[in-house]
Amino acid sequence: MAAQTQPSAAYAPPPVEWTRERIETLIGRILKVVFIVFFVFVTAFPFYWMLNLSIRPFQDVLTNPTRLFPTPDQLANFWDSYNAVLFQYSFTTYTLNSLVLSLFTVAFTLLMAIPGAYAVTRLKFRFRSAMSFGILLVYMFPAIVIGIPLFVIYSQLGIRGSLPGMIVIYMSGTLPVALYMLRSYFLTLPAELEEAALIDGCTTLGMIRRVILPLSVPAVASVALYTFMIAWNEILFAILFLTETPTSWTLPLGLRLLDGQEVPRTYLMAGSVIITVPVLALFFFFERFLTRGLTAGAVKG
Amino acid sequence: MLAQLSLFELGVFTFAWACIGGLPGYYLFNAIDRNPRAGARIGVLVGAAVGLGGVAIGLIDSVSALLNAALILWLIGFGAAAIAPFTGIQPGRYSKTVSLSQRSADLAYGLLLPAFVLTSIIIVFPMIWNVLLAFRPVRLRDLQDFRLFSFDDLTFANFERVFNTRGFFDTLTRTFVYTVSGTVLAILFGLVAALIVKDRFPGRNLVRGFLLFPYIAPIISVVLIWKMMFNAQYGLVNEIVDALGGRRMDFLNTPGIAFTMVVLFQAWRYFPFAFLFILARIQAIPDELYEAAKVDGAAPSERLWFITLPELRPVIGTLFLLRFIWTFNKFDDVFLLTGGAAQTKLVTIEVYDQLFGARNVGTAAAVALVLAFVLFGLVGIYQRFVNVEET
Repeated sequence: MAAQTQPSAAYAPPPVEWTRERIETLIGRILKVVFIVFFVFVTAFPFYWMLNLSIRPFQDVLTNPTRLFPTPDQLANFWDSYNAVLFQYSFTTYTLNSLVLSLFTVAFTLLMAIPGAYAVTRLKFRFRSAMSFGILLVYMFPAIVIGIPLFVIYSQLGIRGSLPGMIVIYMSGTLPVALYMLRSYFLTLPAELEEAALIDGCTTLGMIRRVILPLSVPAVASVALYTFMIAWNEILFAILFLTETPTSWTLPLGLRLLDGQEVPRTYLMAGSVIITVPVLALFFFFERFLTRGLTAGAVKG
Repeated sequence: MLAQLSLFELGVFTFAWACIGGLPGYYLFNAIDRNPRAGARIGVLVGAAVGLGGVAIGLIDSVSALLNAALILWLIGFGAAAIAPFTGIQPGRYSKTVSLSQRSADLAYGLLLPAFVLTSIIIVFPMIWNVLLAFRPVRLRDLQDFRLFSFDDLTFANFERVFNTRGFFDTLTRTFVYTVSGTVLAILFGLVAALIVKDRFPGRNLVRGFLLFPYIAPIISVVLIWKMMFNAQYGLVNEIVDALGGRRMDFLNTPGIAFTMVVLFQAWRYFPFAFLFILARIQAIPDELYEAAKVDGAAPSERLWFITLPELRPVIGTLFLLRFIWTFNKFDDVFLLTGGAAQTKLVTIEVYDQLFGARNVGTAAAVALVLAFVLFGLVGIYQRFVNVEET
């Protein structure tokens, strides 16, 4: 046996040649593993830690700051902090407000952006290029600059703390994003299909509904998700406009104002989990759409 | 009330009402006569008449009455347009007399108008009006009975106050340093991340998913978790520092360190954005390039340096510009993380402080105007001298 595996001197395999190619490939592989571990750690661990801190009572965090896994006892009582945040600190109201705001924003944005994007992509009219450029420009503008005049106008109209007023603002914020994303998608659709539908006697609106929409389900889905995420995560205008009206507080605003109070940090972390989970869940279900939509539209953030 | 209005206010007022009327007119006439342009013209006249008339006879004497009048006009116009198709009204001769190109343009206006009007009211108008506000003495408490348009009280006082604010130029410089370093770091991280995820390996999709977490999670929750992890008393990072024999510190409240932290936060939160763009571009580089280089004896590092990076240059240029603009404008990240304490105040936080700290709307508008000017100046310089090959 040993004699068989023992290579004879004549057939010795050539010694491993440490060419530059080989060395660099090896280094590259090692670096890759190191970086993968590093990146996964820095991106995923904070979220795990958020979950961890939302389960352990704050007293335990103070005495055992580094306890990586909650004890079974703590796990069994994990609901305590969530219960407190949701019902004692009215996070149910904030969740409802956030949901209403985000869903209406999504619906209205899509309603306006789909026909608008179609017009900018396909129809010829005098201000078409100006329109496209305008969309881009609005997209770049500092939100805080329009914040002040809007604050003044909304104060005068007396709608500063109202949810419908916020929906209008959120919509105008997401509209350029949506128009831009949909436009870049519509450009990839073959115009022949639309022409065929028009020749067959479809009205333009009917054609958008019957031909364009079915073809753009992925793009529309990604726009809807992004709009939802932008509205759900938004906090600047919520701070500016809603702070004085507790009944209209959204989740991010509620969480921020909770941060200013003397509450156990465990509650804060539970609140963070509540606000983060829907977004991450949506993201995991629709990841494919999202990544594509993101690069298509250069989503602002 | 009409007499109290200045000529300019009257003009703006009439124009606003003309716009309010034109929109439903367009759709109403499109529905009953296929002639939206005439409808828009008539609607403009009706709108202006309702607005001016309402004020003249005293029906519109408050802001809420103004809003209600607009809503009623819209309800009538849009309601009629919505009902029209069911009334059996035959569209007029319009379809025979108008060229195809004009019909297409009419349709385009019809499809775009709602979006256009909304963005004009909520974004473009405030943008322009902000300029006027910056030159007027307006305080937060004056807002209730404040004249929207007036050119009688123009002043440079706001700007004087801004430039005399102690440390304003430090704030500007800091914002610039923050923006450049945060942007560069985010792109660098994104590049490395894209390079490691570009080839298949087990669990690649999962890793790619994790990499996007910081970007898609709500800002407030990631800020709170950073505050917890870097807390001086019970933060995990300080425990690690302790274990390694270092000195514990208050990362987010120590001048100098806090600034590094906000830059790192910026890089951490926004590298996924760069990552996605760079990844998409990397995957579009044809394999033949690499194969040819390999045949010619180029080592992996050389292939990276001479093929991948040059191919990525345009997308990195665009990314830098986008991220630069957005980071320069960014308010929430640093505001929530440090509130501008410990020498981390940025221009956008100065705007907020002027508005709610000093309660001075005019000065806040002036700071915002300075911000916009500096930004456009910098972007202009970048496009002119750095990013020349592009676009």
